[in-house]
Amino acid sequence: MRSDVQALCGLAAKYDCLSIVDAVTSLGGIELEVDEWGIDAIYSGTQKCLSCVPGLSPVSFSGRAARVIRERKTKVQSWFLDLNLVMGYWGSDAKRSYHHTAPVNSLYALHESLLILQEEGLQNAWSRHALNHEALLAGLETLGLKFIVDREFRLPQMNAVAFPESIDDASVRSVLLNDYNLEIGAGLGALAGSVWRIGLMGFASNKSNVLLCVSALGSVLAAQGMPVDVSKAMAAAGAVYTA
Amino acid sequence: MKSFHPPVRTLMGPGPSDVNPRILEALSRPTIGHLDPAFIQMMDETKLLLQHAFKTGNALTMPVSAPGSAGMETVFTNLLERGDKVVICQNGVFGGRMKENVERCGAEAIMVEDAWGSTIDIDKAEQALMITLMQWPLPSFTLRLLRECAPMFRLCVA
Repeated sequence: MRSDVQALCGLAAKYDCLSIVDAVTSLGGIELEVDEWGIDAIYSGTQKCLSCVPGLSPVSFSGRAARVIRERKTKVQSWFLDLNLVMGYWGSDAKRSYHHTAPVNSLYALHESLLILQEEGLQNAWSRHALNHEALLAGLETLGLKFIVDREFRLPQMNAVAFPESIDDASVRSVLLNDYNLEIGAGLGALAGSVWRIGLMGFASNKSNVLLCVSALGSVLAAQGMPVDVSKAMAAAGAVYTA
Repeated sequence: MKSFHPPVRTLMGPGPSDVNPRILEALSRPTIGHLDPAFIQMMDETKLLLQHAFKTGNALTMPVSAPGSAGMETVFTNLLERGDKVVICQNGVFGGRMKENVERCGAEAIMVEDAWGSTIDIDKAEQALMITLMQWPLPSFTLRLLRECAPMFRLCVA
């Protein structure tokens, strides 16, 4: 769910604190302005909206945060993650000497994924995620599924929908996986068993995936006895693209 | 045992998501040494591309050699020292993970909880920050002292 990161970072600055933002799901999919919002430290993952292979985590630290790291009184407890050491390999002004063996091929993949993002343009990527989300929203709501996050706080790349208690959660996901080769996410923690998390991230955020999801989920729900109108849902989703 | 050929799936879960074939092709290009000058040059380009993606000019911008969970730990282990305080705004499962991270660094996590699936309540967050700062063990403090102490506090947003 989308929180007002800019306001929260402003709050941190007001009290002279460092702000830390988790952008694992947001990077590449929704507006994110590290400098303009005054974010001091941020981390993300490669396997969501960057649509890269899993296994890397882009991070960034403001000058203020970098100074805190440099001026530590005690060593970072993790040698592997100690940026004072790692930057001896990654830093532009550094000797570029060995710290650990970087995952070479994965870094080619990250380079390529960031190039693709630059080619598309950040604004276009954000708009594409928003459009596909609207289409999925139209389709799923027409099927009778409820989005659990209020509209203004929704992340377009992560669609959390509640399903009726009568529906067999595990069975739906299993049929989708085995018959449609479609993976959707189970609910986590407090929301396990009552919510599905349907991602539309990066390369996966496209019209054919939206239509596949609505038709497949609609069919599986119908088979479980839920009164759904799959063709109406498909029309609703499709209409978003022609609007 | 035979070679593993995964089924072809459409990934619409919480991640990983579908990978662009261009990226898989990039992954399969010939391996070179991690200290090879050609690789170092690519690393520098990657940093620039990351700065573009984050919309930042931060020099300390790079990819940690492990997944997002390690990125989280990188932030906490580098920024925190024993005794620091962190206000964590939790509205989902990863707030709990942040608390673990903070405590394993020997720091204190102050949780501001909002219902899972809801947005972070900024007034609650401000209250927590103010209360935490007020609990500073000195009997009285000036605004200047507060500002000197304040960098020990971190506000964490999930």
